[in-house]
Amino acid sequence: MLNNEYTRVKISSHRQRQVDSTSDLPARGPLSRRAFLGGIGTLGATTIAATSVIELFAQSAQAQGTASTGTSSLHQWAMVFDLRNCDGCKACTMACQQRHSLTSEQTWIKVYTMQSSAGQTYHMARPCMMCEDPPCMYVCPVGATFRTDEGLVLVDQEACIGCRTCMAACPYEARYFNWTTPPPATKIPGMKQSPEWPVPQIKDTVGKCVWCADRLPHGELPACVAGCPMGVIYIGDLTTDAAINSAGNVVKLSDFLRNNDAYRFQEEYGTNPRVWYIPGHGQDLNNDSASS
Amino acid sequence: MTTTTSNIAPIAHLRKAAMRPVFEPGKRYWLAVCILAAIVAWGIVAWIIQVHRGLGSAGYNNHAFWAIYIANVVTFVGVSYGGAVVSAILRLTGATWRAPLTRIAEATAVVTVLIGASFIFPHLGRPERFLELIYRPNLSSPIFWDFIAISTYAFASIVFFYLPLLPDLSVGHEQLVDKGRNRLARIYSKMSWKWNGNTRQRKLLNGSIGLIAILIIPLAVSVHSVLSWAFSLTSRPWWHESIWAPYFVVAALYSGIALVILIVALFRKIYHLEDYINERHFVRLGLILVPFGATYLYLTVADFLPGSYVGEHGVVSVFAAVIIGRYALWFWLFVFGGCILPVLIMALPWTRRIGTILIGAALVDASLWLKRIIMVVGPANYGRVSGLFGSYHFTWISISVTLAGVAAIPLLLLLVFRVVPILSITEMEEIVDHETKLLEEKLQSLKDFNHSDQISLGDPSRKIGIREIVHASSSAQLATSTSLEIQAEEI
Amino acid sequence: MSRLSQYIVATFLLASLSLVSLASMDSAFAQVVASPLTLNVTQPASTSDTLTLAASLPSNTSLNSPIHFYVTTKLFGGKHLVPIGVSSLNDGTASITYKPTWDGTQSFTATVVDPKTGATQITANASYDVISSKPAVSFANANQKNPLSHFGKGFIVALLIIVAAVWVTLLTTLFRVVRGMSKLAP
Repeated sequence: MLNNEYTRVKISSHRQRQVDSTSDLPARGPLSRRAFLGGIGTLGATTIAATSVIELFAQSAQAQGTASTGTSSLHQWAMVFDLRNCDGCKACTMACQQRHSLTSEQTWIKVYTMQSSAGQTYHMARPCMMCEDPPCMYVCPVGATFRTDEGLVLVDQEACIGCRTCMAACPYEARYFNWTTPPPATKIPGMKQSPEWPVPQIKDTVGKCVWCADRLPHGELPACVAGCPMGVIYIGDLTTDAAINSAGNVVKLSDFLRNNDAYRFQEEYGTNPRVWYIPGHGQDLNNDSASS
Repeated sequence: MTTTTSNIAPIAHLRKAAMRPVFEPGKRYWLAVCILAAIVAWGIVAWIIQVHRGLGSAGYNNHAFWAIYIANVVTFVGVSYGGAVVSAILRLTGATWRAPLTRIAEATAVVTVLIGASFIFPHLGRPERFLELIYRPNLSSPIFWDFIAISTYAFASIVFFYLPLLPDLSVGHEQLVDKGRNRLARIYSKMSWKWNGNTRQRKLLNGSIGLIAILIIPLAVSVHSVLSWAFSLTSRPWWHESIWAPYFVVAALYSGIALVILIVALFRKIYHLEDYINERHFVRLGLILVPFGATYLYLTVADFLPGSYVGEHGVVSVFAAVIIGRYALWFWLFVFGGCILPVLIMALPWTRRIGTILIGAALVDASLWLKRIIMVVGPANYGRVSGLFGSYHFTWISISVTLAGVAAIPLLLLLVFRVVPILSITEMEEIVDHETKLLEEKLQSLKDFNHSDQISLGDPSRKIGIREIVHASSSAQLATSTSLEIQAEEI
Repeated sequence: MSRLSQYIVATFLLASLSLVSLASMDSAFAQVVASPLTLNVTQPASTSDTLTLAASLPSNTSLNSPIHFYVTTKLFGGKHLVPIGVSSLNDGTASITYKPTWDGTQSFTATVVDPKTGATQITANASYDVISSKPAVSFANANQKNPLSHFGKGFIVALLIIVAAVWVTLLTTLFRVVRGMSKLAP
């Protein structure tokens, strides 16, 4: 799967773009602004406040500038979990941990055993939800968590101060802290630690699922998607309106969600996650073992 | 309220007592400093080991991502409220009995807010990146505003400590010169900026202190509100409660006054300030604790009732764990030991003694720390997807660092009062002067009315002398009643 | 609506009749047989952001199976066909409407299955240059409106002004006292 000619594409990190008016995305930009004043050392509090304010307006002007030009086919990544096919084998978790050299506690994609209202047990994997309104990003005091133009919420571990407010804010418990020195990572030539490729993890900073942001620009599937033997996980693009699973099954995303009554987990927190679930308890598996 | 007369009589024994710790702190001073400094140093060593090993060595894990250190930040910043209240509110309401306590209270406020703020560093995984808060802040983060609120309040506390100190430094300067302590005398002289106690200087200073006293109250309220919003701006059950901001503020006032009681008792004992601080001061402070303790208990009920009644899954799970589950023992210990018992001790006349008041105050501070631990760890332990609770244990590292913070309070105060007068000399002299003058005016009008030295007090058969009246009134005034009596003799 | 029509500017087009064998593209279409199915993409005047895909078979064909329509994507490495609709033949023509969700040249494919052989019999290709588009899925709850985002930056600016005022008050008070002491000393 790995491309040796890989050259890392920077997903315009360190600056999330104002949500475009051509899309239906909620305009929640202003409060999430970070002022990047890198390099400024010892300035008085007032000066900093003033520059931050200027920065705020500068960004707003720029955002208005981009609004009229329209999107030029930016990908808007999304995931769908077809729970009708999930038997809770945790292959996704293992594929992820192996790819990112994680410890067993760091379940960036975690399979929960859930109880339905009808008393059935079912399995539900939870990656990072890549929320449209990510509370983790809003509360990060130094803007170490940011959102790319393509809707990926990533962590700059070189900037994280380790305050863990994001862990408090995430309603999905999707964030994991490196409480001790992380295990040595399997080295891949030509790949440097970055928000998109956070390997190895950095001690005393927060890490989380990145949807294999290093792979997506190359048309490669994230490790969990590729590693799911049941084809439960679809990675898709809301712009192209297409999604694919490990079995190579391509669907029209909007129809797939609509026709199968897809829902988003814990919608009540208002984070607008980019992960949809198709309700089920593994009934589409041949052995039907997951139903009780 | 403030006197405008420049010829305020100096009170010699007060000036001597206030500067005594600077000149002769006592034999056991160095012993105490060494022991406390060792505890602090041990805590710093533990912290360095923690930085080396990672935050996991302090007992933290993914199900207890916030725990003891943030609880310490809340606790220590909280107890610094005592200074703001005793000093600012009592000053603004004209409660003259505050005067012997203000210097200790204000110094406690400065010391505890600095210790509280420094607990941010062990709380952070990457303390060396702390300055990012200044050069690349995210203005929508509650943590950024915590940083702003705490630093503003800390600076205001320092100003509020320094301004009333300014004339006292001038007083201390003379004594330092007399005893040949020239180096400290130079600093005193520089820091007191040519104070000579004339009317215009006093007017300017008292006006400025009044302004800061007004300003520091909303600042203090803002600090704990913003601190509470670090929790309640997340969607976590029990943290996400609208009551938390006032809840934190009341807790801070409650524990802050309790700490002032403890610190005042400590320094009264070691520096023999019994002539200036007596049981009435403790009783009054104890009585202030009563409404705050009762309010905190009331807010606790108000915090738990709606969530328990409605039964939303996450909230009910956390509340059940606190009230009847895994944290119940500690929670009820707090309710009885931290609210009901101290309030009863302070409220019942027959338990209102210095000893019992001190026990009550110690109970308040200890159990409010416990309460903060429950408030932080409980919701952090709760997994919102699984509905299961994780666990959290203290380690020797987290305990050592916390104890270092506790030991740092008396240590820093001992060091502060080694260089700074422990009583607010000028404030007390002004109050004595002012009240003596009021008394003189009253006596004069009585004398004018009766044309005699004998005053009839309703019952014609009971005749008492002016001196007895002065004596009786003065004992109802300041603890510096001795000086009043001396002055009354001269009338 | 006017803005919408602004986005959707039709630069028509090449209604391609080119019949391409897709055998090399996807294993699912291994048994493709070329045949005279034609696919035509048009933009109706009334709804500017919707395209109409019409596939027609010569009248002499006996085939009566439904026509499957696809749009091609290279998103996941290689070419993949995203199913966008199925329609039955009516007078030799089957048509669907499609709302493009992304910009750029899109190529469409129509297929029909021969029920006798079970093989994907006929394919046709057409491409269309989409100037602007709308994502098909909206994430936002339409009723959800955050009062804080209503005030936006103004809220933060107001807070910063308050903080600045407090610091200015503290510093000027300190400065006034320090300077005043020296000034007022005789």
